[in-house]
Amino acid sequence: MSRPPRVSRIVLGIVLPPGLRGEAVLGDLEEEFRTRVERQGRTRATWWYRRQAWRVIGLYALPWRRPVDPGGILSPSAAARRSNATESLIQDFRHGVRQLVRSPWISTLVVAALALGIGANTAIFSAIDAVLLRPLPFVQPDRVVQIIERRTAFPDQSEVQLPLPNFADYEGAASFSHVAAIRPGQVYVHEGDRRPQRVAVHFSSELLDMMGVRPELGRAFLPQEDRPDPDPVVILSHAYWQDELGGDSAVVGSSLTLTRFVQGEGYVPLTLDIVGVMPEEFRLPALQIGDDYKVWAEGELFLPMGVWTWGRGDRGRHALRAVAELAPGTSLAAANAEIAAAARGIAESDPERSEGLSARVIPLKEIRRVRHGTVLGVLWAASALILLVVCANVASLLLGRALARERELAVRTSLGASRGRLLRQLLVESVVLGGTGAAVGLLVAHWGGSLLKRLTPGNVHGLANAGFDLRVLLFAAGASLLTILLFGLGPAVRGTRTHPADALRSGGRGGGAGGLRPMRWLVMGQVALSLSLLVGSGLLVRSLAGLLDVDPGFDTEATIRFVLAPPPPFAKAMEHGDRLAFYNEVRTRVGGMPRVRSVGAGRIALLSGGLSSGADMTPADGMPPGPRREVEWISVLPGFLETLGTPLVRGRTHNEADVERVFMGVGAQDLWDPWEGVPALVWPDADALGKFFFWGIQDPSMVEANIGHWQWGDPWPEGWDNRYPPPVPLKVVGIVADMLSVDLTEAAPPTFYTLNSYSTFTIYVRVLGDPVAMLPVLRAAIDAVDPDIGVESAEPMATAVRNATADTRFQAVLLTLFAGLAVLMTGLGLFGVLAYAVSRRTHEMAVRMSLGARRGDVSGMIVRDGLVLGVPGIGFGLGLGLLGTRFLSSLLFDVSTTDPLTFAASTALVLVVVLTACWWPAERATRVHPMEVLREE
Amino acid sequence: MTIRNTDLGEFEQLVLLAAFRLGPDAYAPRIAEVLEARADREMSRGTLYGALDRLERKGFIEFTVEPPTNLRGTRRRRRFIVTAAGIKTLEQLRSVVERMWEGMGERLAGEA
Repeated sequence: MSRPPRVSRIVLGIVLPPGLRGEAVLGDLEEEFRTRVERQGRTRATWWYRRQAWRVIGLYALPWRRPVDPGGILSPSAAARRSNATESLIQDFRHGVRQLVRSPWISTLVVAALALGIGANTAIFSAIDAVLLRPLPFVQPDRVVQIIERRTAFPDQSEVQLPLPNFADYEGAASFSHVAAIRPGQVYVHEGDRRPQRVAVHFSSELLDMMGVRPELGRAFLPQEDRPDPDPVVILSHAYWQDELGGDSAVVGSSLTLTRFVQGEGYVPLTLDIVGVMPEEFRLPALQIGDDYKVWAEGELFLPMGVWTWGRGDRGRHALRAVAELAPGTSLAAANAEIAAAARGIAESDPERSEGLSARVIPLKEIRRVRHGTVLGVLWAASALILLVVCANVASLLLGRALARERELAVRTSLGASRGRLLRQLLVESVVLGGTGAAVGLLVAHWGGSLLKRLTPGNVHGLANAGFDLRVLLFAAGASLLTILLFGLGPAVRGTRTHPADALRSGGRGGGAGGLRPMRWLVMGQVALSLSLLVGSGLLVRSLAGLLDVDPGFDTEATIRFVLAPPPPFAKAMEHGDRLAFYNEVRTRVGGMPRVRSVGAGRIALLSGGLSSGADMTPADGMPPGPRREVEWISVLPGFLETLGTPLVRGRTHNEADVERVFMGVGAQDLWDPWEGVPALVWPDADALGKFFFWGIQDPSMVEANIGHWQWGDPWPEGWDNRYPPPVPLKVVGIVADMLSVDLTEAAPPTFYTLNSYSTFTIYVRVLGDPVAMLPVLRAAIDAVDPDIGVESAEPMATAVRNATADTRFQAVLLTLFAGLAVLMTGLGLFGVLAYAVSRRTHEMAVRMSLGARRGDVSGMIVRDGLVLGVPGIGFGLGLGLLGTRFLSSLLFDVSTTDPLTFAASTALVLVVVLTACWWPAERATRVHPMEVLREE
Repeated sequence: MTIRNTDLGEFEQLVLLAAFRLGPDAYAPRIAEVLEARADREMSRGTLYGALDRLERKGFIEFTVEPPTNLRGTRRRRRFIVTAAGIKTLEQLRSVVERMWEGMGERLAGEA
């Protein structure tokens, strides 16, 4: 015999009340099912059973639908009272649901608006929660500070990296209970035959104490391993241990060999004992603004500070970042005073290197806030404004509905319903709407959150962890509740205040325009809020346009850059001659390919930040060095400036003869190269052509004494600052246009271009036609030149420019999205109010028209009505915009916070939306047929 | 349409009437069948059992338990019986409706 569908029957069996009642129902349905199988066939009977089973499940599973047990234990009166109270609430609830279903368009609109509002806020809040609110990964997150130095020579620049000796002086400060140094670096790990480059971060032993983290295997670093040249040990990251060593727990106690660069010795191998493995979730903390956090986060190996060799004992070598935990009872001010005093001491004892040195501490929390606070704050403010617009919008919709239901409410009041009862019913309806909106809003927040993560440029530490935790859910619940109260309470109070007699007397036409007054205020508010959002997003869009419009001083359309992976230096000792041979080979092969216009190379990848080097310079014509200032220094190979299309202003660019002079016949040095014939230079004064200058800040008398005497190969002259190259002057042979090599948002730094090659360099190729299409062919050609030197990354310069503008693009896109939503909602809100006003005033229109008013008069009246709402709203919006955009100033580029064009354009757009919203209601008003309307009376 | 004093919903009235009409044959599937034949559409069993439970709670209907039939497997079934109070309410309803209709038949015919 055929059996009913399983799942439905099982669920039914669970939901039905135990005992006879459930058994009988189950039996009934089975009986009917079998009858139907015979009459209608199996398929239809099965579907019938499913349908009916779920309806019965609905009856017994929803508590308010479940029939009250007739033989209940409550005394009749108590049971009756309770069932009365809960039942009327249940009734209200069902009534609310029915109201929702009855006007599906309005409900969908309301739920969608609420979902967007609540969802956007929750998504942004989850980001803020992850990035700003979660405690920093320290035992005492509020008491951790970073030590930062400053020199009077560079008043605008905080020096994040401290020289090792300075760190040692701060380390002993009584204000700190823990102090730790961190230094990322690169090493080549011996893995079989391979020598891959790995990120190794050095840190001192107290860091893990401060963070309250222990290795998951083995031990942490010991204090004695902070001191120079300890027994070499290494701790592995969880990922490295898993991926490269197969997660073998016997690894602790074994050893690992790597090659690293040691000052004065070159590349030397070092064998270390593996003493520990860090837990999987361990990440180094993000520190000062401008930090390349990615480098830290990717730390694969961890080495004790004592293994670090560069710049030991030299107060001129900026190498370490320092974090400290304030000692119990020490205030920030006290710590600052102590550190400042220590810095003064250093300045006095070593005036040559540390002149004008000062130092202070900044709480990490503060750093985090400064770093991400503005953007997230602006986004949050924008999403809060959206929520307000949504509330106003929904409130005016509900108010409209409440007015339309005036008659229904009046009838109920006159039949004895108390105001409280009606109020409750309206509020329950709001809760139904708000609850549905919040539920959909969580979905929106979920999608919005992943969208946010995808859109955000990858420099926001912690964003990847954003998600729904308890705090985010509480926030969403709170926002929803607030929203419900904001949009629900007003209309409910207003809707139940009518006098039944008035409402009934006016025959459903309501109390005339007076009843619309609160709606008018709401619409005005929406206009104001959305205009201010529009102004903010307009400013960001202008910034983005400005950024994209900036002439970077190089061609972004047709150029591709190939960042080369450096060969392990010990595997292939590339001297200048080798590098030049390699580069010439690339130039010949690639330059000979069809559609290639020119090939160049430089040490840096433009716009990648941080890879070009600051340098000081001293004119060699007897003039005093003048105020010390930093210039950018870019080492290039011939073809660089031509390939990037940087215009030559005067003189010439590097040529092959320069190469001959610079590289040939001279012993190559690893760090500093002979500086003979030289470069094109951006020099403030055009007469610089043909002049000479020296590298670094040098004593003019030293320059005088050595110029023309010193030969390459001689020992360096006594008293020469040997951090800089030897006293061979550089000659200015040409002047080129400014190039924004580091950052699009800042003025082009003064830059000089010297001929030189490095173990890392970037090849630029200028092509005819689409660079994207050419990219794979060129990449293969470069890869083929030398199997040891591969292309690490390749991208058109246009992509690099896009990445460099990612922050602004992200902010502009998000804020524009918000502003667009707000304007759309405002338009709909205004439209709703006007359409509603027209529908209430058809009678009046009819009378007017029968008395001789022309169509134009009537539609003019409606448009005037709309403008009466729109224009003051615009006024408020402009004021709000002027107040609000001040907070945007740090995010803007090349546009003032009171940019008249943006304000004018936003106003015009809002005005257009207002007029558009007026159009249809006005049109409808003119189509009133006086006779028909009046006959209906 | 809720009639005062009887506290009986419209659908409950129909269910009660159907059970009364079926007399000794008033099992839930038969009641559904009668109602569906009159309404000419499928009726939700959830609504039906809800109405039966409410009628029972209000004292207008009760049931006796009968052994399973072949079609039901091992499950027993309920036969519904309209109580005296239920019958009285049905009568009241009828007289109310009839009083309301008094003299209206001609008028309906006239309009048509």
